[in-house]
Amino acid sequence: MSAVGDHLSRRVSRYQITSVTDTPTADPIFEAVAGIDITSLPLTPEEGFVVSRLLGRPMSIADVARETGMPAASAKIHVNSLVHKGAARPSGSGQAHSAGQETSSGRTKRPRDPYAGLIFSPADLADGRDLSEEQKKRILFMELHIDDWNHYQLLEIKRSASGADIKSGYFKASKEFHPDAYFRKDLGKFADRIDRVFRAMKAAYDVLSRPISRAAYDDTLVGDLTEDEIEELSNIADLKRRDQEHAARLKRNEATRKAGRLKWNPLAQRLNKARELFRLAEDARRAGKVEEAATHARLACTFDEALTVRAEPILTEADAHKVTVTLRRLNSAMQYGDASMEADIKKAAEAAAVLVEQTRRPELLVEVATVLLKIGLPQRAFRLANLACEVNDKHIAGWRVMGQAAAAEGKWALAGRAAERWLLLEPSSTEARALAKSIKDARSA
Amino acid sequence: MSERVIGIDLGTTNSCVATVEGGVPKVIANKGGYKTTPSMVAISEAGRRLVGHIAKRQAITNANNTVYAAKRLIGRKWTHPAVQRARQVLPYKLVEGETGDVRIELHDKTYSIPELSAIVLSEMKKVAEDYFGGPVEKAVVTIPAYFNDGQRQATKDAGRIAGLDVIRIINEPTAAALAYGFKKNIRKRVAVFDLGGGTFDISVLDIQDGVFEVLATAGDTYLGGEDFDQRIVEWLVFGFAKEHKLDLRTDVMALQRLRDAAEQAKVQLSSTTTTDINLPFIMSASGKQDALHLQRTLTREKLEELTADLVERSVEICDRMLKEARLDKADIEEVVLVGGQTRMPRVQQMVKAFFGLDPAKSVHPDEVVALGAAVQAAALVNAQQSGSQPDLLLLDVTPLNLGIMIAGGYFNTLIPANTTVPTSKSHTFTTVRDNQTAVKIVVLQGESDVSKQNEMLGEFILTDLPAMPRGTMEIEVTFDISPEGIVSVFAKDKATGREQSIQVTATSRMSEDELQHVLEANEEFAVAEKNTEVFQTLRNDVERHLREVDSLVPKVREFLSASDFGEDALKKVETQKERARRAIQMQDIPALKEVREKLERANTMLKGVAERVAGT
Repeated sequence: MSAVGDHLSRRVSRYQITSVTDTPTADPIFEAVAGIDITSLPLTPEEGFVVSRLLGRPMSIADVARETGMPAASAKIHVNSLVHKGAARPSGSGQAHSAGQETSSGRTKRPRDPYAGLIFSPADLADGRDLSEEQKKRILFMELHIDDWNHYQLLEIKRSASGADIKSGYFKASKEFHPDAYFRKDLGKFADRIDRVFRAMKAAYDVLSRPISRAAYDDTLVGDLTEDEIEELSNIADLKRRDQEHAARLKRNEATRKAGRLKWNPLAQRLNKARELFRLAEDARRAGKVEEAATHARLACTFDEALTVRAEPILTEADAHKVTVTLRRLNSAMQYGDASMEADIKKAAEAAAVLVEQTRRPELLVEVATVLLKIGLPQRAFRLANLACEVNDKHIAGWRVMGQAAAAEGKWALAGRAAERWLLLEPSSTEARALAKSIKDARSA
Repeated sequence: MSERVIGIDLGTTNSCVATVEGGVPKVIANKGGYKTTPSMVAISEAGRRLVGHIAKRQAITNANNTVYAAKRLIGRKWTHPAVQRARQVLPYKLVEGETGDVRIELHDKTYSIPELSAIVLSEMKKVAEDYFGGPVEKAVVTIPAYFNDGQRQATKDAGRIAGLDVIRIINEPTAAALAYGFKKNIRKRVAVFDLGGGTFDISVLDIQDGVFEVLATAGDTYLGGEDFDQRIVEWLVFGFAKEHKLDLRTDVMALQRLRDAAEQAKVQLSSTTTTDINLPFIMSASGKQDALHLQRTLTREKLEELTADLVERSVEICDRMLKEARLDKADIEEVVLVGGQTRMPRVQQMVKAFFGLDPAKSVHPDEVVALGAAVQAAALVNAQQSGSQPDLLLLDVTPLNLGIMIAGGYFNTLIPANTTVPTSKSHTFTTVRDNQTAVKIVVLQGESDVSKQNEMLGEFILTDLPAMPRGTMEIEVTFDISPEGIVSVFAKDKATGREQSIQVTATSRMSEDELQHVLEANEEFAVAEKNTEVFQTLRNDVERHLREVDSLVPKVREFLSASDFGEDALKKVETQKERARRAIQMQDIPALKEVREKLERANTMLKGVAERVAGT
């Protein structure tokens, strides 16, 4: 359909009517078009006012301006608009008509002689005694056009006709051309002609009365249009385009409004952001980027606290990862480091201790505790080892470090209990027995 | 002074005549002051012809020689099932005419149905002539919309015999709409529900600016008030048989009395809820028994129960018509009730429930059809006499599909039902066999896809065709219906331009034997639908199915042969294969369609079996 519309607009542009104002005449006279129902035209109140002045009194634009009290410029606009809508036209009197105006007035619905340029054969007109000459001419004229007129022309209806209009047109045509309208008249050869015309009209109606077949037929029509039809079709296309634009605008507005509503709702926005971040976190975790995942998860939690529970495993995992890395560094530092690095090592170890406490993983806790013990922080080491044994009371290394740390601190009672547990879990360990013995000795001392 | 023209409603039980005077349609009453006249004809003992009320009055004593409801037989073939059914219930004697039509024997003389209808028509003509005080010739006669061409022609014949110039035959519901919308300047879609004495019709029309366009019509030529009466008669007969072990139907006079009483009871139950049926001395004393009396009470409820299916059927027809014509019930703005039977409260309720509208009150159900006929008659005569456009115009439709018989005995519709007349339609057909030099064009009218079940209007043979391979010859068949409803058929061989035609004007005077012969034994003259594209796709489908079947059969043969049932199934598949090959050879499209379906089913069956075989 849009192809049709394009085609039309192209065709129409060639027939664009020259505006009246373009004519070089000094002071053209305008009059209201007779026999037109002004109330049925889409006029604005101003135009209605202007046309009411023009009724029966042709006048120039200057006269209009004087009569209505409008500025001359707006009077000109309204008059031109009226000409365009078919309510007014340049007055036929006077010689002030250019070619452009001729086209314009030819376009208005002035009755034309339908048979102009046709010569009817006297033999034809002599036939059919019961018909008037006018009837005969009309029948001959219609028969002549059966093939070259389209369905709309045949039924004398507009391209924009509604279903009811089509029916009215067909009924009107039927009254004129149905063979019953000439019942038992002496028609001569006109009987066949009437029959042919009516059948053509009926065929036209059959096509146009069903919307589907009408649409299909309309598609075949574009190549062959009269000037009137082109103008009418362009009007239809205009209306349709305007309707479509309007609908599109409404749709767009609605979308914008909806987006706007969301934008100005901070809560919704926060939640959206949190959801988005959390999604990123999960993606990163799946990809093995533990730290990145933790960052996103943490951020997500700041936007939406409800996510904390779901974020916890991600964060723990990240912490554990960090501890492992730190430990690795500490170990190498202790192995190769010198005294100057002692402070740094201590600091790192403390940081690791904080982290590892959060993860509550026994292996990591014990490992960090061992390091702490080595660098002379037995109190911290004891705490971590204690925690490890709380999480898993069968963790041998846990008890071992706990015992050693307690012993280093001089808390003999605790150290003794830890050593006992160690021995219980690992009876064959000489190391444990040695520890227990040293503790015993220390206590007795 | 304008010419006198009348409209006659030739009803199954009653007839009515009307005219238009001073622009106003009015019914003409007969000498007795009645506006309707019973459509009854009788031959008295003395051999006198009796019509109307006189015939009705003596019907009981002279049942064997009193004809009623002749309209139900007009234009029918003797072998029509409706005629055979009627033979059993009608008191007068039906015999077969020489040409296969129905005749009625009265006092050893046989009458054709148009002859008897003509007697009623001339009575109506006389009623009008008495009223005008001068001769009347031109008349519009109405018929049920669902009458086929034969019935229409027979009605026209009746008019001719009665000395009338029947200027137009119009459909009863259409006539009712004309009377309803005449000079009203309305713009409406109207449904006319016409349940008369013998027939039921439903039509939908658009009325606007004096033009009446029929959009769709449907009906049943064997559904009407007579059937309602018959139900009451049966109820009485069975009740009586139960009580006295006697069959009243053996007594013609008793049956006639029952019929009268039934009609009266039915009419009364339209205004009261209960009525008594009293028929003293229904059986005269014979031998050991005393005289028997019939006395029963019939309630409206009982009547509605007895006739529920009849009312149901009429509403079903309405529903079907709306669906087929793709009309929306909601678009109908007025319902007009026509025919005496629509006075029954149950019918009115059903119509109201179906259309959701109160029926129009302004219409007299018995007179409106005659008034409409008069309106049409006046409009036609005015059109003839004046030079201006008519103020009333009717655009009517064909009630039944019109087409020709094609290979395999199928019916190919050319002009479908509900097409506005005048109209014409062409379609190209082809030959079935190589070097076929003649084709037979059999013209039919009806609803069935099978030719035999439709009414045959005529036939002709197009000969001397050039020898060509099958399927290449192009034969153009054109159907044309004139505004008068006359059907013409032309067949043209496109290669040579040779043309043949018939005009279906006269009642088809073909005997049943001849008809059977035409429909069955014409293989060598058959025509086929010329549609190679359709044939190609069908052929491809069928061949694909054949290949599939061929590949499946060896797999399942052993399994199936084990049982009788399986053996049988295999045989059936073989038959279908054979049939498919023949259909392809014959280019028989309808047969191909059928065989395609069968093969498809066989394939599914075989596949199922093959799966089971593979599974075990």
